[in-house]
Amino acid sequence: MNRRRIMQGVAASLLLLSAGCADDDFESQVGELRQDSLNNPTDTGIDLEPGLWHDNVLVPGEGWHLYHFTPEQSGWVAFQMQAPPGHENLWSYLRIVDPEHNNEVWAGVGNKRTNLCEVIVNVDAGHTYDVIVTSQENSLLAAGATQETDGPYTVAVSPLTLDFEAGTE
Amino acid sequence: MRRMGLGLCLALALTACAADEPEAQQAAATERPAVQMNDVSILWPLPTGEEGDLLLGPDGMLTAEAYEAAFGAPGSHQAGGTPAAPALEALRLVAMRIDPCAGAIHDRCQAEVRLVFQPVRESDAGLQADDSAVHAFYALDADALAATVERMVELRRAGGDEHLGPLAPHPRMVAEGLSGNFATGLAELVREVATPDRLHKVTLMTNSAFGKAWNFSGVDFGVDGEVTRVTMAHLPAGTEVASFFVGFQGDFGGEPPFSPATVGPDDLQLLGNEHVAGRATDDEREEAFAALLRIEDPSQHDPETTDCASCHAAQPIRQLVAEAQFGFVTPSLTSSVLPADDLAQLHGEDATVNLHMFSYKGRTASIHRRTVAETAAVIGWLSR
Repeated sequence: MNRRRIMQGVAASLLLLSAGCADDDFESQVGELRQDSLNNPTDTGIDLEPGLWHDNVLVPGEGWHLYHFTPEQSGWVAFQMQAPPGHENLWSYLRIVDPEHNNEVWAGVGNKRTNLCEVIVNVDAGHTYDVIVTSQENSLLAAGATQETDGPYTVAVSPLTLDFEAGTE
Repeated sequence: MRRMGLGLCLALALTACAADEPEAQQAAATERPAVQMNDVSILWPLPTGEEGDLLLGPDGMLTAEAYEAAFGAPGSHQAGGTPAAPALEALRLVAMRIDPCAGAIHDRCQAEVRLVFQPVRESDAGLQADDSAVHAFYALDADALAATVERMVELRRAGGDEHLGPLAPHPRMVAEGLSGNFATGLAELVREVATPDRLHKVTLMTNSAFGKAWNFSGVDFGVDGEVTRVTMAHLPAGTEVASFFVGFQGDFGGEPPFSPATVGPDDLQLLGNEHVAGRATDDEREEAFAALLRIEDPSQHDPETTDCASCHAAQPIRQLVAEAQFGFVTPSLTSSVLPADDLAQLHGEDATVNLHMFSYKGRTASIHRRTVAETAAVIGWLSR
């Protein structure tokens, strides 16, 4: 298993918990494109498995892809997404949703030269998590604005062992 | 262990036989056996120009029904969303291997022929193979095995009886082209031997994570046609896909490199990540390197004792991590029946991470050290 040593302060900043956004009415169609969204993502129907990388492509109108993950074991995992470094309109962005508890954790890429985004979550065995993959631009679009994200990405969830040590950010 | 009958030994007019005495072994190693390395492990050259159409497709060897039973309907993702198997119609036969005694280290013996298919596409330089492969395994009885080996030797001798040397794209096909007598006769033999009724296993290697992860899976076909997932040695029960991830920089920074992690005694997880290996002690690295060499040794491991990902990743990890970064030295292969120059690894160097043990990455022929060792063991077995 992957082992990480993380200072507690940094770990806290990784785990950004925010209230779930409920906007069931949000739905739009632009031309003939199905303009999906955070609350209406395209469900890929794929269950991610630890350590296995899934490749896909975000296309205009399908700017939000939904995956599922049900861990067999409790513990820390890293949800990871990578898109081509320097891509003009695909900056990796992950949102991990715990529908049962109406919680979510999200992060956007911090370094466009890697275009790698990672969200570390302490998951419960047997609990199903939604993994929403999109581009950072799409997370900032005004309602109804056309998604233009167009590019490949890869996504995985990898088990981790975290060693916490005292420290400051 | 069941061994091939004396009849085959005589039919092949083998010049070398098993011997316990070192002197006899020395003598055997200077008299080349009648069966050569390239007779039992055959790599088709990737053609250029119009000969691209002459590579064999899977027709008559791998049916759409069997392929779909193994990997689902066309386009079906494999476990974890890993890529679908390549389209059957895109596959071309790039290699064939004859194994007279699969399972020998477990005191069992199943003769088989393995065909290696890869999806290919045209490029300005000629046909390119994608970084994926499908292996199809066909069970042979003793008579079929003997006939197949004999036909291979006859095919080679029909064009001259010169020594073809170590494993490489088959020198006769390289010289004659795919329209030559050897390739034509070989195609006929393959179609006779690799029939759907003999198919007992199909395995798959795909590529994901922008070319930085390789995924392995497979199925067994029972005698009644039932399909079961290949059980991968020392991986958690129910594992359908095993993966090796080299990291997005291609620098052996995968975290973790192998998923799922093996619980077997020989584990490449440490050397598979250069940063982890760098933090390890000398003793830990030496232990890991010894494990790697065992994984590359067909007398120590086979698919029942090590998983596909470890076996395929062993060579690039050895060359690009253990040797290049930590100074390990790999011992030369030896054989009691073959001279050392037959064991040369002509197509074993690749600056990229190349997991093809006997096939192509792009146009680069790749022949792993373990494949050389396995082929030498086959020659040794046939020479008994």
